[in-house]
Amino acid sequence: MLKYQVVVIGGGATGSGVLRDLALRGVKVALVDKGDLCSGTSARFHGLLHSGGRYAVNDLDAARECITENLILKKVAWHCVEDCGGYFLQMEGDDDRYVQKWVEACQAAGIEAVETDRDAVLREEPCLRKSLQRAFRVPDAAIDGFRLVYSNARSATRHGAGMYPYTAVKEIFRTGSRVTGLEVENILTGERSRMECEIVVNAGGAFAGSIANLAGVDLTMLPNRGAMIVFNHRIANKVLNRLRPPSDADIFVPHNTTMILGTTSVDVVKPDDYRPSREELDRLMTLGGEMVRDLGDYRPLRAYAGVRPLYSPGTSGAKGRAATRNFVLIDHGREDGLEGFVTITGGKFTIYRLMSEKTADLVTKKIGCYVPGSTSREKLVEPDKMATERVRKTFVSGFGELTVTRSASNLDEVKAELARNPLSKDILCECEGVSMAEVMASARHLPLQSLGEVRRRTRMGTGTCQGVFCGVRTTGLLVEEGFLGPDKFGPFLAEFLEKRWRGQQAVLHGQQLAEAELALGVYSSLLCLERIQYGAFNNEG
Amino acid sequence: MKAEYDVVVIGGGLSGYVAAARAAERGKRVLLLTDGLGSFPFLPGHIDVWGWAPLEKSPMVLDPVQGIGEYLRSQPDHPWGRLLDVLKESMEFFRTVCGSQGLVYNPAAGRNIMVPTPLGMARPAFMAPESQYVPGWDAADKVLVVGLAEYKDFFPLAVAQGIAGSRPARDVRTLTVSLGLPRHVDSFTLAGYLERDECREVFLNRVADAADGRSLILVPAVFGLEAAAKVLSSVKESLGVPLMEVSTLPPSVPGLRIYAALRRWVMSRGVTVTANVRVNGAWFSNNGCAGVTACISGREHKFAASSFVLATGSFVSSGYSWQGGQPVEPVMGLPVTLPREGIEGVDGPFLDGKGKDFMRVGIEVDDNLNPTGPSGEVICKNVFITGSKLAGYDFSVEKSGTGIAVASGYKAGNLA
Amino acid sequence: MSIDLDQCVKCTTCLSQCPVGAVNVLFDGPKRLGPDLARIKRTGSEDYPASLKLCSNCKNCDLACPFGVGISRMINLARGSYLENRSFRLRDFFLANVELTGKLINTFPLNKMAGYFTGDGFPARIGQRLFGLSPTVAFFRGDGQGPASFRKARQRPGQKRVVYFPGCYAHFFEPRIGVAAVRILNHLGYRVELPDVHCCGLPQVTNGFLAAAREKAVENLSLLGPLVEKGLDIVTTCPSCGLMLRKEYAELFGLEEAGVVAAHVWDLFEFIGRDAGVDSGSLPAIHGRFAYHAPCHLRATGTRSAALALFSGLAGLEMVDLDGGCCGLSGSYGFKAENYATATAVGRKLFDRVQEVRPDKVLTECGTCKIQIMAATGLTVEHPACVLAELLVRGTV
Repeated sequence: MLKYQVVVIGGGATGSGVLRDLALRGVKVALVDKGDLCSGTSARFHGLLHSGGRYAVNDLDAARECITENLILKKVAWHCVEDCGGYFLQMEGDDDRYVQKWVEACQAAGIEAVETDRDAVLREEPCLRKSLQRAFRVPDAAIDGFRLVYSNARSATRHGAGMYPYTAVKEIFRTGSRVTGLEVENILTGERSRMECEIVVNAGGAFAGSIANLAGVDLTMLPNRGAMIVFNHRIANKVLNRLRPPSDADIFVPHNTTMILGTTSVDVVKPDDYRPSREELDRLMTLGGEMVRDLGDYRPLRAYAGVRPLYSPGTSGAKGRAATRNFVLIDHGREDGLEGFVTITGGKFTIYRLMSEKTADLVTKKIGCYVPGSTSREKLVEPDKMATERVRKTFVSGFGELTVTRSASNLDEVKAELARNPLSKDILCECEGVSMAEVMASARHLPLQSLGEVRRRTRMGTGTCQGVFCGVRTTGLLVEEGFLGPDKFGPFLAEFLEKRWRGQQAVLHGQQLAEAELALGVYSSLLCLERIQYGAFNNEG
Repeated sequence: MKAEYDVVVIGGGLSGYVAAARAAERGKRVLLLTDGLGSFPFLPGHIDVWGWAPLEKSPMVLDPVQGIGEYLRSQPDHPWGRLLDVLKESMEFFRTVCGSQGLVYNPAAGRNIMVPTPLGMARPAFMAPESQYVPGWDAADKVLVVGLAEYKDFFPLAVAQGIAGSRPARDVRTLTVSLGLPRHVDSFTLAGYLERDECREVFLNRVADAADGRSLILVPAVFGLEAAAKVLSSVKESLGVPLMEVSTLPPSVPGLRIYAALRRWVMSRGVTVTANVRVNGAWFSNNGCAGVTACISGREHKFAASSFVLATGSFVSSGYSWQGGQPVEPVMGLPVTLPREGIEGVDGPFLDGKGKDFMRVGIEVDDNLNPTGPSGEVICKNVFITGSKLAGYDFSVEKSGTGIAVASGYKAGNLA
Repeated sequence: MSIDLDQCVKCTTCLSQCPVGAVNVLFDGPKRLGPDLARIKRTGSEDYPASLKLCSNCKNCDLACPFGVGISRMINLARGSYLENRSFRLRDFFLANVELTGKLINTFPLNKMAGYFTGDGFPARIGQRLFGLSPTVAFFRGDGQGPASFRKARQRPGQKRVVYFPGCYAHFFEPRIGVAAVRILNHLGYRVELPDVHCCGLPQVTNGFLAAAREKAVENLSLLGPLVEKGLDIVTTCPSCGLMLRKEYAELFGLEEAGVVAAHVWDLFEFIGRDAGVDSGSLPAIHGRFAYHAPCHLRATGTRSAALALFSGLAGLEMVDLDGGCCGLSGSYGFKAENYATATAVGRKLFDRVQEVRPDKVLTECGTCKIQIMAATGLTVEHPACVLAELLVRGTV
């Protein structure tokens, strides 16, 4: 029987943010997630750290929240943010009056929006259509959601928090009108155990509804899907926003080595309805092509979708974009007469810290140990320029920097790997410059249920070839280093490839089709992986 | 324009080179226009004819001719149906050509042999190079699997597991040898490195003890490229134990050895081999195709001939260009057979024994490998389609690619 | 370049054909230094791998790529950025600025001192060590004629006109190549124009002086453009100059006017073949065995060696295509002491081939290939233009 003051359900941005905030305040807290951390919506958004410009006209409060958090995260989560800046671009035909309203709204919200010479912008970003009318520079940035979530989790565990991935909640116990604990199941071992706690925080994202049901509370979510297309290289080096009322396909975000185009808005029924439709993808290309010229000439690597955890208080049935994107913090003691159960939902990635802080404020007050939070000031990782420089020099220049940037929160572990084996400075995933040391450092502490755990933490397999070489190389490394049994080689690798495939199926043309042929040449023709799956090699004799 | 050549082969991959070689052997004046190396960097080294029928749980095939025959009953349009008549001859031809350049293949026995995958599993193949096959390897006891610390694409523990597999009693040991290099290297660089006597000495010294008493040693296929024969024999002699190379991820050294051998042979027979020539069009006469055009460094060149072999390959060899979201055949505009539901958004798992429709895209042909139109009519009597340009097969699940390339290349070389 | 990045499918074909990768374990290879690095660089990372210096710019990666990715271009641009931030090296400055070095070496008193570096003796070895030059420099010999002596050659009157672009090697070190070219072109009925062109810029590109190379390109195009507009073609005898004019000016520097000029640039023997002005059958017989080496840069312009074809048609001559790959010298690359081992190892296959064939003479269009082969085999190496000119003029060789 595990005893905590608080258990957080859901390991996305909000869940890990709450975990860290509470841990920093000295609360005995744990987090459970049915999968690996950051496998839900936080793994499937467009990577934009909003300046708030998008919301300025329609929702001034939301915009204010965004810019405040934007500036905070650039300081405290500096290692996860690429402060590339962004543009809001009025293209031919976009309403001049909206532009005017927008400029005023940004000012009112405290968002620095500076008009920039149109010709200069076209020179800087030659991918833009010449039908550009006006351009405004805003403090948009790109944020790596995975890095942020894992960094929060790491910080939390350093402060004593418990972490239970691959742990599904089976039951939420109550005594009278008070929650007393949970029954959970380790989905890897099948083992069940109980967790006793005072408060359960439901940070289940799009799954919050079914979690609330376990507590006997009705929480109707309005899951809404947004699709994205990932392009092979950075088409532009700034975030590109369309300067018109928020709609589909109006954002291009540079994300590490790629460019992400998003998004759409389709109501769905299931919280894991991640498959973008053909119509959504066509829409993305058509509308995105109004900002970027010859968009069809660029190579898409994959298409994916996330499901927004929209929630509208009451049964007004407000759907899609009309439903509020402000977050909702529900004290079910007040709302439903169930003490010890709190739901934090809605919102967006950019304000996760604020959402977490509000949740932690409420929770600590309820427990009676309130102290103010410190996450707006305390950096997730303290920068150490000298140590970083020294480590960076060990790696292959030009590629090694990426390892160092990604490993800010576990630099010591990377150094330990280099000390163990100097050859581990070499690159495993050549498309993304992921070194063996980086892979080893992250893999050493992972349950390794799936290669996706390594992928999310290091970016192996997320580049041009989508894992053709690094998939087998990484699996091989894990086996040779003893992290994975050799008999697991085939199934482990196969699971990774199937997941990579799902994103590519929708964009199988041009070079990505050639890439798929190469992948099948390596995995089927050479390695006979599909036959391993069918047990073809288990025959006697 | 007086044609300088009898046969123009477009595409310097496996089937293109075999076609050029066979045509040259028949006394034809051959021009080989190449852009890239086709699939040579990916070939495992062994020649595969038929390993599994493209069905989910089909059994491993031991008699490929029989297996193909069975399959043809339900899928008569599979290219093997048009190539079985040259199977034996083409394999012998391939073997002879390679052998003359020092790349020795064991003679094909007619039935499949078993060779190890890079993960050590025994899979069917038709014909293997001497360096990659030791008879009885899959039953050998006292095996040593040797990896190299500076070569990260070979996994001794996994290979050992694959070999031991269903016979855990087998004595399979692993060893990882350091060559003392400052960084990891790829297979191609490693092959060059191991051609140097002093570098090989380091390897041999470090393996000698572990090799003692072993009955078989498995190594990654990186032991030399141009000088592979010499390197392998010196290693075998020094260790005194039968040695077998296991195929690797690209760049595949065994594949590059085949490339070198075929290239040397065809050039010695007077075939004109070009490089970096992208053929982009053709012109026709009453007799069929009269010539092809290529844009080389901004200048258009014309190549006239009596026969043409279109060996430009599939997607990964840039054998198709794209128009309006559809793949088109860019040299002669031949009709490309596409899957009915299109290519994108196709459902189904990545690893699927049934194969993929987009892998079966290609040009349909008759028994003479002439391209045919929608009603089966021959489009050009003097054009021959070979290799992965042929429609109707998925090399990756059938394990048939190299066999079809050799057989179709040979047949085209016969007929051109 | 942006879309070019999308073409690479990481097939590894390029690295399987890299002559440096075959012999040097420190080299990261064309795939990593080309498309991999270029894509990653767009994230704004600052550093560059040191092994960029090991690329010899031989173009074999470009030749191998099935998708036409401009691999060597990406590497050259990366190398330029890498070297920009590094300390200036005098040696590389002189190796890159062949125009300047050529002028200096041909001017008193340096023309007397040049022998110190290019001789075999003790002073040469000191000089080499001081400046970090490889022993191959010792084989760099002038032909004794004054620089650009072909300018003084008396030309036969001709109805047609053609431009000759000699390149620095012919201009400063072996002007007899230029004399031969003028003679051949006269024979074909052309009067040869010799505008004051500059170095094509290739040595500057390979040594990271991209801006300077670009300037040369612009200057050359401003001289050649108007001539092309008047309908003149441009003939080269140096494959590297040919490569720059026909491909790199447009592809590497993005100079639009380069395309117009490129269409009119011909290798001398390609030009002869186009005009069909020399019939091998009509030439006097040569008795013996010659071997031909195709310079990498000639193959890179897609020119199937017209020189080989012409000489193969000569009566009595056994003409052997060495097909030995890259010679290893690659311009200034092999003259650097730190590249000597690599350059020699790269050329090993070619040298062995030469020994196998045992020709009386080796023919090759590239000046530095000539030096490398001479150094390694001790054989006489000639530009095919010189041999042809002799045949035309004297009727015998």
